[in-house]
Amino acid sequence: MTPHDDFHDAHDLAALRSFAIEDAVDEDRITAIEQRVRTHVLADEARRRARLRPAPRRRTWWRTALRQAPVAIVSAFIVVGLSFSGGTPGGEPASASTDAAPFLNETAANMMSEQPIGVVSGGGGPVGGGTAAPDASNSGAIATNVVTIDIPSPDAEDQLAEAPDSQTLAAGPDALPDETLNTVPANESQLLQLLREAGSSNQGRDVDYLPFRVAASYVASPNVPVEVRAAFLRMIGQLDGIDLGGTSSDVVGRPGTVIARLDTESGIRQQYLLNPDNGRLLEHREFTTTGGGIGSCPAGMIIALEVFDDSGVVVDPQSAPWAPWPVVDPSCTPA
Amino acid sequence: MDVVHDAAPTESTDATLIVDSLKNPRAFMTVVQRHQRVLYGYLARRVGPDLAEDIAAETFTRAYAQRKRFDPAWSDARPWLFGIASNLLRTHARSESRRLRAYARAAQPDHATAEDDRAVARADAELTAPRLAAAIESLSEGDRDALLMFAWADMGYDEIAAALDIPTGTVRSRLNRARRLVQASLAEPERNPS
Repeated sequence: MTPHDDFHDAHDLAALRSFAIEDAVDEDRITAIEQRVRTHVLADEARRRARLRPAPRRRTWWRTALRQAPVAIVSAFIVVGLSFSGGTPGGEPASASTDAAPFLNETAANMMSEQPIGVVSGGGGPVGGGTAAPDASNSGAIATNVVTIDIPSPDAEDQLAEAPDSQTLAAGPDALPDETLNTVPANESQLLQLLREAGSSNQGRDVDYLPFRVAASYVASPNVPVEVRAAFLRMIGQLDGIDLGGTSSDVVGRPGTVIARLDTESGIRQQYLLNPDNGRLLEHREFTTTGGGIGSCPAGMIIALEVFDDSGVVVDPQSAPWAPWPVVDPSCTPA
Repeated sequence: MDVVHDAAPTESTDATLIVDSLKNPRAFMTVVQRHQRVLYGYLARRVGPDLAEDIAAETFTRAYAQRKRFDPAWSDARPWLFGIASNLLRTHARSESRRLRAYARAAQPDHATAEDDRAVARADAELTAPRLAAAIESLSEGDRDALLMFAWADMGYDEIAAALDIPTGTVRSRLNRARRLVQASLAEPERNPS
């Protein structure tokens, strides 16, 4: 017996089957779903291929050491950074400029000139670089300051890797193997072209929604070379509709400068808080600016919130010791 | 961008493809292509196209991440995928309720314009939609899942049981309860919306 034999009233079943049938088929969306999954699968495949290659042993050694550094060191970085808050723009009036590009270019320059991590023998802890908090990036410059060993040049290591295409780049730094990360162009125009190409098929969002979001993910990642992170910062300055939003504090209380953008299609405002002294991303939040839509969300509803510690790791809201955490409703879909 | 050739032949079972995908990740895309239409259609009717796209993509990426745990005794991956989708849908229950309430409030059509069979059928469907929406909304989450997987995804009792991780007998009782409620709502005397 099939299930349908047991559904005695065929009229009821037919009525149920015709309910909202007009929503059931949308080839564009089905294609979009497949593309999203394919990007994910290809990125995973690339990661697997990278893992199958022989790892550059020396380089891995210091990276592992960095990754296994005690949480206390990371916490100390935060304390050091905050203790120099007099040098940060907390409480100071924001730049009056409405053009974010000069600010981002200067911040990118600060990021490039920031003092890297130093490791004191005997486990004495990090050496702070003046008022700048230390950088946990994996750039060659940093590597040579961490340990005095002969590090293979990135050029030699990257011979096998190809520069990522637009879709791969748009998948974000976590989806890329280290070899590919080292081939991401440190050129803001090239990055913008690639990400706009990837964002052009992003339904329901304008063309710069994706570049802004993806750029921030690279800026936040400690695994991305500092030159590339700086290029992404400069790239953000080239996007349409970027606002320099003044100074603010994140949920932990760290001061920074707001860079924001309103997605004209969805009404979602994406907002990032940057430390202008070193270009480090402190917080990302997205919220609605218009009410209504499928979720009937009120304006001002936070739909995404991430806080990054000094190593670029997203702080888990569930384990955060501070309270109250703002209400976040990721299911809220604006008009 | 790479031109991607999904490696597995289309006649392979889902179980074979999923096992293959542990070594050759692209084989998983054939599973996606097989089920994305019915999954999207089911989700879009429940929560609307925007959320459906997100939930469907998330379902497949989670399935991909969890594919080692797929039971190859099931040759068809549909119950497994719908199980993942059902869990994701639970976080969007409010959206679904709002959507059903909007349907329930919708104005009913004017029968006088229905001149041929197709128009009559369409008018009939539009007439019953508000009542159906109200009936679906009044169902419990479990009853609703069972009924809509049965009606919209064409799944059998065993498949629904696997998707919802419940015994087949429970599926029968849920469907029976849901069916009675739908029947009663459609049998109600027609109400004038004005």
